[in-house]
Amino acid sequence: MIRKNILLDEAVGTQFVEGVLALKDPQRFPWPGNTGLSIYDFFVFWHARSMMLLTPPEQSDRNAAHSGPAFLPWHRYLLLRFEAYLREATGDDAFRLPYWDWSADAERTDPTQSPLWWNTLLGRFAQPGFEVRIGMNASGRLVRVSRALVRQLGAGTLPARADVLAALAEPTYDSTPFNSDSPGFRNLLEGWLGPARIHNSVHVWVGGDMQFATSPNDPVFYLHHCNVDRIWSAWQKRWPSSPYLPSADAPEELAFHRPNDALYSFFDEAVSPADMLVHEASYSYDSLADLAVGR
Amino acid sequence: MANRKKTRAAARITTPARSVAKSATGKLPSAPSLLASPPLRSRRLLPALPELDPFSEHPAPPAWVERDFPSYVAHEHATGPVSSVRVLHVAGHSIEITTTYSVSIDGAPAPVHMLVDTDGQVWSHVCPYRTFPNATELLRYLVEHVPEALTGIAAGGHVHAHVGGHS
Repeated sequence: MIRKNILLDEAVGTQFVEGVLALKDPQRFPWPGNTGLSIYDFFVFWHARSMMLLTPPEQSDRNAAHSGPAFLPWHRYLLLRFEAYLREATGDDAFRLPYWDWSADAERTDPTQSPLWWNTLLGRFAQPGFEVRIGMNASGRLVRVSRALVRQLGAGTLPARADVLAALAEPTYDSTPFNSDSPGFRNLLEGWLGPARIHNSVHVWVGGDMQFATSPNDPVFYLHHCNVDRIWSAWQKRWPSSPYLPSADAPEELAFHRPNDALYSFFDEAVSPADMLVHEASYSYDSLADLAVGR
Repeated sequence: MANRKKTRAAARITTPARSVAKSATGKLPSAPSLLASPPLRSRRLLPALPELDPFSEHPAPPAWVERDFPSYVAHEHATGPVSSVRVLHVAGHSIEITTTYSVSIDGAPAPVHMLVDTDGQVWSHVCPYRTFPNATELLRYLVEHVPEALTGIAAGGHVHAHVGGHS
């Protein structure tokens, strides 16, 4: 049950591509009640909808899954659910999501030439036949589309290893006001603080569909967030005494982000940030050595 | 267009949000099974997807969110210009700045989603990973880079965006 570096394991890369293509197929994995849409498209919808719910509505920063403490556990939850469907699609119970170590690619002379973008891997989804079906107009309404995936690789820079290590040196998970202004590890990793803008800058660097609220339209979203999750996992190991914050008795205005709140979900289940703090029973990462854990 | 510089914080919180708890859904969390990762080859072990129309003007929120957070959902479904409130505390004074953009495209009102952060940077849910120095830059970006930006808003073609209406 190991999540692997996609550029170091050809087999898992192939499985990921084939699994995504299967989940995109409305015939094989339909989204019930929506002709022509698939389970893959549902995850695009879920992510976009999470961004539209300001928590609470009287402020204009934190939403149900971003710019707040739940950013990391919510995405861990999304990945777990997507990963489960990929196991169904691949027929492999041992399948786990691979990750994209973008800091390794940042060290290349030209990161846009990384094998990740070759047609055997993520380049496959920029080819005809991979259809983007959900877009968002300027008023925030989701609209039905049928077009190719858009990427514009190379805007800005990918986060360097040193930037990630600097974030990992922060011992506090999050702090008041628990939004994009907050000092702390979560905000450094999400990318509203610090010079590298870690998570955000990867969305911008990939460009195209990855820049939008519908960013899961690009399958690289999952590889990117798997690496974000790996960095959080490394932080948890480095600072085992540092708690998830805010605490359970935090004010009501932090609903959706407190440890025992339900994470924003359309599934008939209630999963909280606290439920997401320990993941080793489901998966572990092939290596955290580059993140100074275990050295 | 820079990656979002700092923050979108500090808008006023006037009404305590309603409490949420996992028990509010009436179900116990399934997280233990989620993380224990039993074999999931059987589709019936995966949760069912919701049957809803993602393209309706107001897509249905999760039932528990609609029930427990009606004011949140009402705000999400609000139509018309979006206002941003910034509160500053300077030399013993509390200063409140409300910004509302009124946008028309090809002469017709366009409910473009734009918010202002505490630094005065403008951002949109449509492209949430960056901010813009002003509304003009944001609108130009939306029209030039977001393929569906004007779908359902304007007839298409070249767009003249008129930005203003700071209040």
